[in-house]
Amino acid sequence: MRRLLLAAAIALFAPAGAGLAQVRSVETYGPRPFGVLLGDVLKLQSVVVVDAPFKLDRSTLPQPGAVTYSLELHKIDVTEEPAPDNGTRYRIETEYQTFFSALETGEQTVPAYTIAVSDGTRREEVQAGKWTYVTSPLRPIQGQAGESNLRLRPDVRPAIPSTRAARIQLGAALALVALLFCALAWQRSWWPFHRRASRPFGAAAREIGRLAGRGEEGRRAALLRLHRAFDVAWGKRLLGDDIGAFLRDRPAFARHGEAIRSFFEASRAAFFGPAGATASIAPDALTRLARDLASAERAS
Amino acid sequence: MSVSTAAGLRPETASTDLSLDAWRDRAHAFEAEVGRAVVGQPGVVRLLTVALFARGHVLLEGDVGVGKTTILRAVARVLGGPFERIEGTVDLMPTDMLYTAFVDDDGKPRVEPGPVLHHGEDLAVFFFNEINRARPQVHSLLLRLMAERSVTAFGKEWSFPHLQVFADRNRVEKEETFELPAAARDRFLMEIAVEAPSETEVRRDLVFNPRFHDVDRLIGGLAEGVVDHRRLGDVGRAIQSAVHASPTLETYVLGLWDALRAPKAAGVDIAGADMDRLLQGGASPRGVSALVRAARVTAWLAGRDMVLPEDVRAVFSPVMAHRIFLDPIYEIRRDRIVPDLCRQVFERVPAP
Repeated sequence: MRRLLLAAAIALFAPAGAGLAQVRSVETYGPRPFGVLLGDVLKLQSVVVVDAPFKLDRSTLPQPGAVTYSLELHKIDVTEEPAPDNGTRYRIETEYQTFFSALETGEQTVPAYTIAVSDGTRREEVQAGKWTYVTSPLRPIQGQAGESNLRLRPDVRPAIPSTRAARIQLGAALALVALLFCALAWQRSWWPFHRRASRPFGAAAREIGRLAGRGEEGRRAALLRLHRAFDVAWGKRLLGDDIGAFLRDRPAFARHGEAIRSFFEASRAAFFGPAGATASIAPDALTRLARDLASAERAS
Repeated sequence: MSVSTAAGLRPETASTDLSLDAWRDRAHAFEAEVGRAVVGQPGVVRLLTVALFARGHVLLEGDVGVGKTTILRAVARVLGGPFERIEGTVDLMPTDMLYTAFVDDDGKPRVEPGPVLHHGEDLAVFFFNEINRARPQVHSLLLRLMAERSVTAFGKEWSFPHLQVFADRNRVEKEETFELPAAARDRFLMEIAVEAPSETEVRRDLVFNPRFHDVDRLIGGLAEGVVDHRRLGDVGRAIQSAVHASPTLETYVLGLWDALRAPKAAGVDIAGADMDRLLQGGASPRGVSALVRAARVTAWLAGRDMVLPEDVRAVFSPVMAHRIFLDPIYEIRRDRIVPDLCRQVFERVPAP
């Protein structure tokens, strides 16, 4: 919002006579004329109303650049509009920047510039754009009480959020995953738990799967392997007559009782029967029994 | 599974020439008949039956009054054949077994055949009661009688082809007793521990049923001669050749033997015993062959024609335990150490 100030009233009417009425008025408007500091930009508007047929001679307008040693004209724009009685109103927008470093509060003046109006034969010059304002220093020269509170302080260090909690949670989650994986390996008798004493059938089932299909020798080896698993499962050597006691001790295997008895019958025939006797248990049945026992072992 | 007909034993109806199947039926009948007088001791009766068909002598050991003598008298009665018994005493001399010296009606001293020779060479059962009360000299004679089934008396050799020696001793008293020498113990096929029956009903019956109060009448009520004692040698040989022992079983028995001779190497560990010096000897080849003999008979009695580890296990302690000789410092704990040793041997040696 601009505050209207009458900076220069009616312009000069130096020559009397016929040319008196060519320029009706020259008025300059600006912002509040005080509290201006070093570096402030001043936007002024000069309104010049001329009679017909006079027109503004635009070549007489000031060029952007240094006006004084502490004042610089940044730009200048002119708009033209009709005025009453066939006159013409020119709005000359000027933008200054002051670099005046005031040591104390004082009055400064934007100097006027001279423009000319002409009707082709006649020519008139007028002063426009003068504006006076009060400028102030950026800060007092002398120190005052409490000044130190106003001094620039160091930049606030950026707040870096802590990731410690997240790292701890990540580590805990990884540890939990590792623990659960170990538990799974333990439960399934994977390496390195494949030889643990409480899961003899799991380890045996894997070997028996390979051995059982390798002819009579492989089948005998598979029978022996299952015997050793039974021994480990019971904690001592398991003979055929002990199956009942074994199943009472390890009820998890009770539902495979018939298959276990068949296995021992087959083993007796193979190992203690007359020469040339073969195991009467099929490789598939042997493998299935080993897997069933391993499964029951996991469930127990 | 039935066994095949063995050489010399054919399926005939005559009692002198029966198949092994028929002989098995006889053996079971023998057990059943003995079981009428000996209640609550099926294990002991089975072992005695095995010993009969394995042609081995038996030593019964147990507390006083548990029925050792009754068991042996019952076995002798049901077996049939001439039976003789002698009581072991500290002043018993070997000649007392062979000769009976007395003054006859004419006042002349006379010497007649003693207990061993009384029934001549057909003697079937010789029962030596309280054997550990007899002196070592007597043990020596008994050793020859058991090992060779022969003695020399009246200037000639007496042979007893059908002889079965039963002996018993109680393990309570140690005073005025003579421990059997190792060689004599080794001649016994089995040393069977007799315990008092544990079943309440059996104990109640033994105490309150008057039938068991009069032992003579109890034994007298048993059928005599259920098996023909003169055929036992042939049947025993037929059983040994008919029942098959596979190479796997041979390996298993040898493994047991190795473990018994070197228990430390087999992983046996007995609490409170230095395994390096625990054993002084024992587990002789004779003992292991006796083990296999008894195991074959056990398999035959179970109706099998092949020996299983279970058969070996069933007779292992009775056959082998008394052949294990411990270092003297461990001998006093024998009752605990030897069963533990036998148990661990079976737990260490894989079968098959």
